[in-house]
Amino acid sequence: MENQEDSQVNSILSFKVGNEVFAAEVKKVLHILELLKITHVPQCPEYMLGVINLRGAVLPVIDSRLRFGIPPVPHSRNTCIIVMEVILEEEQIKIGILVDSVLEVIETNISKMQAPPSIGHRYKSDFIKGIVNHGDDFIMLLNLDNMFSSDELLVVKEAATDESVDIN
Amino acid sequence: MIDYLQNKFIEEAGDLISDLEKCLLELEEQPNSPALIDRIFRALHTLKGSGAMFGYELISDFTHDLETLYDEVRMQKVQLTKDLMDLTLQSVDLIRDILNKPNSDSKIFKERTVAILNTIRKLTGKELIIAKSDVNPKKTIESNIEKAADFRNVYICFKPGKDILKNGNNPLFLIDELYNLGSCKVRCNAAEIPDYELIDVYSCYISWEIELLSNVTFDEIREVFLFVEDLAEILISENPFPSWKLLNESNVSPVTIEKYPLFSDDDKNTTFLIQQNAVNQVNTIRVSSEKLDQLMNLVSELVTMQARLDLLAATSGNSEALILSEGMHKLSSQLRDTTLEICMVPLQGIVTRFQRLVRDLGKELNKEINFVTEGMETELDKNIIENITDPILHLIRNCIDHGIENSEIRKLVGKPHFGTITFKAYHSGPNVILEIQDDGAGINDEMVYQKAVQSGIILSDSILTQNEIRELLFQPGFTTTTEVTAISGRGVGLDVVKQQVNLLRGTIIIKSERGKGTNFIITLPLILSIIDGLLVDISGEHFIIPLELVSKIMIYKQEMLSDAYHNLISFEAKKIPFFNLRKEFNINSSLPEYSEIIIVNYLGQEVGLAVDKVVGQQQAVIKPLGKVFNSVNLFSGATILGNGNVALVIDIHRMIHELSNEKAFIQ
Repeated sequence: MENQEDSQVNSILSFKVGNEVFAAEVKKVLHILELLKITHVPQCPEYMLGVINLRGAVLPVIDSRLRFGIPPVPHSRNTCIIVMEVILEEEQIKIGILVDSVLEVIETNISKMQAPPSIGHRYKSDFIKGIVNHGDDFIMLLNLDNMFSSDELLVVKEAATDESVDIN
Repeated sequence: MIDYLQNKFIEEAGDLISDLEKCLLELEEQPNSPALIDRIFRALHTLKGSGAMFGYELISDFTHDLETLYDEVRMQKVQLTKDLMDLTLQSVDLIRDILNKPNSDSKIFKERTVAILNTIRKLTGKELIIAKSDVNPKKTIESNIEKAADFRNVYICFKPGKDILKNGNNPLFLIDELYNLGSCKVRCNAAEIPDYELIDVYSCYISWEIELLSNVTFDEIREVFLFVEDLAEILISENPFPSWKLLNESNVSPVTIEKYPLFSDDDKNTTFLIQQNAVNQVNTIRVSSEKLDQLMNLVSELVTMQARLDLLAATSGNSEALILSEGMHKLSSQLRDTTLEICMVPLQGIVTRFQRLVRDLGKELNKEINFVTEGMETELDKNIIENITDPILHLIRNCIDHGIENSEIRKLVGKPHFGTITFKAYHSGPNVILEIQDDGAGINDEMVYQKAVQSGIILSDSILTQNEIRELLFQPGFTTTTEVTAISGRGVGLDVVKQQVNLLRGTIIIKSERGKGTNFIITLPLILSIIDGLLVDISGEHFIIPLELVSKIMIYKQEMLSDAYHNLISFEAKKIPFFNLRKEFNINSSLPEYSEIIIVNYLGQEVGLAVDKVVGQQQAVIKPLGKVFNSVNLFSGATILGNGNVALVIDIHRMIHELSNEKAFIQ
């Protein structure tokens, strides 16, 4: 391929949430799953949809619409869960994000990416790494680690002693 | 390879040292017990031998001299005095130090050994003659055989009452348990089964006669039947029952089973074999804990798979598949229980450290203290034991230092001159409770309050209840001792204990009465990675409630719940508090006509939990919910059901605690 010599070329996976197109770096994506039964966990923020069974492990799933403040819609046959590996408090964890539909894998040159606008943007600029031009579309490349490390995920800090049960 | 062997040696030597310590402490209780002195001698001998083999010459030389001393004691040439025992304990510490600090200067150790040996020499007035001692290897083998020698036949007649099945007991499981005790011959008496039309499928008509070849006591056999004692006739005898008929003269039909010699001559050979095996079984093997963890993980996977198989077999309608899955189910639950058992260790193993602490510290502070233990056979997950030792040591230290008074003061207030510290352990539902109790001065609430004001933990005009004052003791930086001693008074203490206990998902409370003593009660959850659970349904969402806590399930009409005044509901002529989980979990969907209330035991109190319906029993492998859900503490984890869906496992204690704090109607 022509861009083999160019280390700046990255693969990103684009997906749709509402009318916007977002993307995540492919190296962070582990699986794309069809929508399956999500077990709701009470006492959680609304965007925390619950947990699913990912090949015998319990995987938390969050709703991208609610996370971005986009009004929810009924799930369609295109709705799916992207399983990603992110860093949360210096620990690598797996997490699923529910999106409206997955679009495509795009090869892009990150150096050509525009910085996210600091003013007048709907989304927390922490979440956005940059904006990629793709044809007529603008794609917002997400900064996944920031998106999950924000304090909202760990709602109550005092609960730190409530270690989850060890499996041994 | 050498490293590997050396590690093995250190591990083994550690065991020997603990054993030595234990024997010495026991010896203080029963001085001059020949059996104990023998054990000490043997342990020293082994240490000497293997120490030399692995290049710990210092240990080998030193233990050699000690061994000589104990040989003399054994021959009753030397009287074993308290001072001598003190010295031996010091020696044990020294050996431990040498083992644990391989890189330290051996000169210092050398000097210490010489110092101890010199004192011993002075005390005994004898030169320790280096004698070639030899332990007769035959002797040890003989004693092993003796242990296994009381194999005998025990005859058990087990006649369950008709209603035994209604209580959820399965007599076959009990017989399975008997199989674990030894080799069994079981005869089933089916004579009482009525005609086909008259059979009530919920009644048990069968009884069993079991011949058990084992070395267990009657009490151990009785323990098997502990829960059905009232529901069944159980006769245990060393003599064969003359015939079935004598036992139940009136209601047994004449079709008794013909008598035949249970153990014929052929079987005698097997009997011999079993005895041989029993000799070997005295041995244990060492397994690394990683392997155990791995085994545990595999069993967890198996249990999850089993749930899927059960579901598949049940829906397939294939009776053969059903039989197969039932058989597998039984096997996998046995495998699960055995594996869990393997990972459990009794508290016994850590008690020596406590005894040693009480002894040494008591001496140092000039307090006479009796250390009493109860229920040390109680088992806990090895990981919990490892992490609870230090907090307990700390609490005992507290009892000795702050709790128990000097003997003069004790005499003045009319208490026995020696103090008593009791360390108790017992099961309570799914928890293990550890109590550390002293009969000392108790907590001076007034002083605690003053100190807390002084150290700025509370304001001088705060009004606190007694419980709140007691809570102050667990505050970081709190101390009541005015002087800082080596033992306590630095204010790093109870707060750390509390933290540690909390990390194990346990709780700690203090009970104390002025002048009578203080009692620390630690409750540790026995939440293991696999539990038996009750699967419940709330509007299509599934939850698991630990089965051990469930006492009853009642059905109520929806109106009764919604009309309930103050969240109290009548249950067996009482009013008990209940929580509607539907409401607590914010599940808003159309209400079912009936709800089921599960009565659970919460710290000895009955509390109801309303759900839509109970689905059934489920073995649950608890998987952590993960970091993201750290803030959610109603659940101890999640489990994967047979159909692949996830169900949340409710942490009953924590949930009720949390919810009742919100509502404040449970005391």
